[in-house]
Amino acid sequence: MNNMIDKVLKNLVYLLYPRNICAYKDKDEYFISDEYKRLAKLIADFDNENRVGVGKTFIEKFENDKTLKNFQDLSLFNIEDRCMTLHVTVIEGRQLYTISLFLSIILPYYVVDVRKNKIELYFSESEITNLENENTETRNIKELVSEISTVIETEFMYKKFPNELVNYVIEDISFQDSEFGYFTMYNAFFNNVIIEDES
Amino acid sequence: MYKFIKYSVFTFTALFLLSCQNDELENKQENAKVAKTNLELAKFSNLNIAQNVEADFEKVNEIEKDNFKISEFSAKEKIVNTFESNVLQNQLKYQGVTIENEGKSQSYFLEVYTLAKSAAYPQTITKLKGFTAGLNVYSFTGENLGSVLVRNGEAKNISGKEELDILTKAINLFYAPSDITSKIPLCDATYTQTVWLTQDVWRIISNGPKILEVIYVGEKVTKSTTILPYPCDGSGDVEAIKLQRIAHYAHYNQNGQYLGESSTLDYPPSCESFNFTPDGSFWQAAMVKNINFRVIGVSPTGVRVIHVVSYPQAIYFGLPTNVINPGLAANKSARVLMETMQEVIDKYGGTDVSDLVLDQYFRERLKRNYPLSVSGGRVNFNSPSTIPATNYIANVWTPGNCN
Repeated sequence: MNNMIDKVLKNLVYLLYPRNICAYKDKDEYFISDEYKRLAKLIADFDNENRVGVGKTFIEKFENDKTLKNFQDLSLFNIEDRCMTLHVTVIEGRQLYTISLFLSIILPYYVVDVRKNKIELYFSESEITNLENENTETRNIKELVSEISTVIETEFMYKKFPNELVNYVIEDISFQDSEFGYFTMYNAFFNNVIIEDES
Repeated sequence: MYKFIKYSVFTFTALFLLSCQNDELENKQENAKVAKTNLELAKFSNLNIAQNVEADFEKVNEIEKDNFKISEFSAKEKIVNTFESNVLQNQLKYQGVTIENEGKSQSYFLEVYTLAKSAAYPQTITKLKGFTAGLNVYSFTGENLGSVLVRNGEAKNISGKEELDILTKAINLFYAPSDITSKIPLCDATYTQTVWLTQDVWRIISNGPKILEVIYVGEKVTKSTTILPYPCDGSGDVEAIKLQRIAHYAHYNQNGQYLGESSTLDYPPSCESFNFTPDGSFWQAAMVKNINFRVIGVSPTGVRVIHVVSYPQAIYFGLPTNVINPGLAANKSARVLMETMQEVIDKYGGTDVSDLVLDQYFRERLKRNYPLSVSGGRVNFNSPSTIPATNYIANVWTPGNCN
């Protein structure tokens, strides 16, 4: 891991999350801490001032793409997400995938998460066949993700959040349902979703 | 024209058959409904039946022979009690039966004590060839009607009670003595099996996911008896005593609030636990408090340990509004919750595991599983959401339908 980035990001984390205060047990102390108040204000300000416009701008960049034009802004600031959340669902090889694009509102970093859903809970066998037949998309999931990354990096100057940092634990921070020892760099700058290892 | 007639005959025959099948299915469903309504296990004075036995009304077996109409459903122990015995097989079996004959209808709930050398109980009274056991017979409201003895498929009303005549006759309708069985020496003697059921009563006090204290309140002891055929090889113990022991857990939070009996911890979550309401422009959310279930593990010395995994604090379940409506969201959420509880039980049931590991594993699995079943779904165990929380509800049978 790059030691410099590690230190810089950790310093930023410590500005927004109080150290050694448990978010479960010491809620009163947690909520009056300067760090938490700073974080809460940052999220609320972004939600009030920028959220709709920024989301729209991102989605508009994909409006001419037959698949990615279906991106939806599902940002969730009510429970203090630290990122914008854009979702698109695609079918490939009779499987249903959700591609989630998470764009941090703290740093110009993004994460793309691809998740295979339990398609049997959504569609019957015949519906899956119909969806497969109607699907004219020739790009595979990997290619779609690559196109998303290209647009985000070239149009918005965002960078991919390093894989090795996603699950990097910051031991002395607790936030919402992440207890000490479980709070990661990803949690600090994005949300509480569990990201699967790309490997 | 011939072809048309042929196809018409085929079509009508198929319709007729389908119609018959539908009628039959409807009858079975109706009978299951009646049995489900009448059977009141909670009223049984036998504590093991009252608290630890559940009936399965999904598979109703119906047989008609001569003037008898028999409707059967199976039942089983939720926590299977096993015991060591030279005389008996190591588990009791349970079954419900309703028999109609000559305008009379009688319902029986059977507790089956099978002899060790007998064939296993086939979960029907109509195929008892080679089967030897004592049937402890109850009414559907828990009254002990007495015992019926079955030896190699032939039933005898040992207690001599009139209410057991229909059951005895129904079993004997299917009894066909063979050459082999007739060569077995007659063993007409019986003996009384005494069962002492000891119930350990515990009080569990928790705060959040943590168990603060487990207090042993004491024990309740009840006695029941049944009459068994004396085994032909003479290995039966006259007045043999069998001991059963079950645990009863009452769950409280640290303020003394009663959270329910542990027996309900085995029931699947109900969709009624989830009251999805709008949460911002694109989201709907439900906050559910007091989610709980139990995992039966073992200690390093092999003693059974019951872990109660409990979440008194409200857990946030969030879904995009464009995916599904609130009713379906509740259905799916209950289903994912049920599957995740089962995943924990499957992985750690019967193992030496700590409460902390169970807690962490359940949280991790639920957060992973939820978005796989509903795209974009989110779970948060310590959410800042201000949506009013609803109480967790468990159903006896399935998560239900809230749509």
